Amino acid sequence: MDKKQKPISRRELLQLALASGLISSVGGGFSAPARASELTMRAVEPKDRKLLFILGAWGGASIIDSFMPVSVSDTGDPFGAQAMNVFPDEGLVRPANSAFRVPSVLSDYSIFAKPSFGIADFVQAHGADLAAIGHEVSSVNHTIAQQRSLTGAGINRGRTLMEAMALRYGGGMVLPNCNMAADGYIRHGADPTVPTEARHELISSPLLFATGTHGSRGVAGAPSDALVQRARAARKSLEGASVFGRTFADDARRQKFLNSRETLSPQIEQASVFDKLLLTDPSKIDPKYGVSLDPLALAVRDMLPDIQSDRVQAQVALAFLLAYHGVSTSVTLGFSQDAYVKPDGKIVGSPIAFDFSHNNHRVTQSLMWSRMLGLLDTLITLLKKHDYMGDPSLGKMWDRSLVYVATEFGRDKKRGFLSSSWGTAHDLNNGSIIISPLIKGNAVYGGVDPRTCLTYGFDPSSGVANKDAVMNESDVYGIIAHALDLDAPAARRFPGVVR
Amino acid sequence: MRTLEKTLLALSCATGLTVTACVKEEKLPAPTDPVTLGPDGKPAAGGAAGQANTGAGGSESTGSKSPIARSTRSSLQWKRHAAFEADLSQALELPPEELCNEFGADSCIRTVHLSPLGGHNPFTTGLLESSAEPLVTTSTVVERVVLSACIARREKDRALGQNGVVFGGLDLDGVAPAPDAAATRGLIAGLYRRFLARDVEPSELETLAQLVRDEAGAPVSASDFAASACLAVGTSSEFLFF
Repeated sequence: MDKKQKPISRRELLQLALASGLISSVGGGFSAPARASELTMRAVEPKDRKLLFILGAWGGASIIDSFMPVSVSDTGDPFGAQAMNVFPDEGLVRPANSAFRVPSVLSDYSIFAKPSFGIADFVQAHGADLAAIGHEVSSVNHTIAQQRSLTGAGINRGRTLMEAMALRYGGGMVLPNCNMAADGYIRHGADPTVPTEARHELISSPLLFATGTHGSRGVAGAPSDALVQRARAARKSLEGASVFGRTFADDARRQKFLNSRETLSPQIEQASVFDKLLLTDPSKIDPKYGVSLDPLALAVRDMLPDIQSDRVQAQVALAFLLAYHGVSTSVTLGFSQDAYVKPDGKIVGSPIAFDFSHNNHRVTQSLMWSRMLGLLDTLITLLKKHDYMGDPSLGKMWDRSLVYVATEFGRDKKRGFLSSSWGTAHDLNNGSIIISPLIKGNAVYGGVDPRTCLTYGFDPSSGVANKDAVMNESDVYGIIAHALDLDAPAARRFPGVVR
Repeated sequence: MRTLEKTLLALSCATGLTVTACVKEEKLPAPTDPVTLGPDGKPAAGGAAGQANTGAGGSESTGSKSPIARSTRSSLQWKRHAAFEADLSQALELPPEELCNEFGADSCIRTVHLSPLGGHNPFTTGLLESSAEPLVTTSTVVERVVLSACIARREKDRALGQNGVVFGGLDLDGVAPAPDAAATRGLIAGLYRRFLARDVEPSELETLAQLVRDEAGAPVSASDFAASACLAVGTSSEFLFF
């Protein structure tokens, strides 16, 4: 007997729908993809804030050409040493009471100007707060490696150190995270929950950045502030009334822009950062613009004689002022790929920065390390001299600061036999330096194998060198996060390094 | 079967398989009424608040305005530095190099504020890619550039008098005309055509016409009115996004 065909029941229909994935089995309804909600930044009292300065050493600043060099004697093989990137014994100096032995200034810099400030000078001035860390990296691609030097290769949910700083200390600051660097050093992190205010503000012109913080100040012939406010109020009304505004009321990009204009921009104007941050040559500002430089800005300019032509000197000046005035908690500086030629024609910065090591390794490394450390010396001197936000009760800015020299990778450890001038490619093995009173300075964490010139790591809990330990970008991130008390739960802690 | 049909329809609608049968009538937000600015420059009590729409729903009024459908799949693009410069230059009939120069020297758009205006400069600054989204300072920078450009045009028109390209209808050395004066309305209408390529709505005209007065109700200079009106229209999101 044929089975009588029954009509499909509701239960069977639903089961079919579930099986085909037409409906979710959870709750019986559809669930749209969840949108990541942005984190909220909490305000921190000035007395509890920390400051982070990152300098992007574009192109591969080699640690064995600076703070972890190897001498011919170290190798124990004078013959083999002639094929390695090592220094003659007399080419290294150890400043008094220093854990660091560093290369001296070279006698010949080819077409470049001989530096007036050497690595040893920096050690003498700031060695007590200086740490060199042996570690490896995970990419020899410039842009990728630059980004990983700031994200710890993604150890903290893809957040850059700067974003983590802004989230931790930047609540209430008008521009908590500013970035004047280039290339991979200006890429945002990968965490979509980082709010707009915590992402870095790109600055392309340090000397005149201040002008972008006010809608009418310094604009000759502008209406009064009151009339500009009135025009803004009218504009706000029009935004809601126009056909365009009503049609695109839900557009996310437009909403974000309008929200920023209505909330963040007025805060920036009211903070009067225009007058505090203006750094351009005062002699070139016509009185009709009604602006003049702040006395502190003038004093900072005096410490940086080439500020008008040297972009990185301008960055140093602005970085200091941004931090001093409580505008930012994190500032990133960096070399670009341009050579720096002074107005007198002297070339003091190589093209493609440290990457000119492809052409002339020893000279490029010495030149750029000297240049970079000279700039950092000025920055740190300013931080040591001035009270945070001009308030003696808050102590010197340096007491709460950390400087991190980020770089992509190291360079080849070998050279042509007996070569006195050679080129090097990128190498995964390298190290970094951190300068801060928040860490146990005057120390080398890890070491260098004199036979191979490869660096090795250390025990995070004690700081003692360990030839079998391999540290990487995430460990550098962890040290900095630990020192600055950042939220980075996946990163290791380093009680052997951090005070 | 009727019950089963309803179930099937509900499932189909949920999966989007049968869209037309599932569309419900949406209640659209009411358009805002013309806004009267009070002495403090803020919307006066009793007038509808001219807030940027934030997605709050509302019923469409059955008044004189036709309903406006909100775009549900909009993806407005940010007008970046090159397009912004070109459109501003065209609107005010100024060469690009005269739009805005900080302290009369450095180009606002091409140099000083390149980053917040969505530009890039791989050679000098190593800015290989433009910012994907407007920066925090973008809105302020845009205001600054537009204001500078408006003032530049105003000063050229001051020399041209009645032959002024944008502000020729005003006596730029005198006080602003009355809100309902032909010169006032003509200027505003002209700005809308130049910046937004459309006619101004009566409600928009009413709002901007009040810029001839300051917060105390006293007439402002024609010069200030010109700059203020130009600033308000030139920095609207309708000009800055497309």
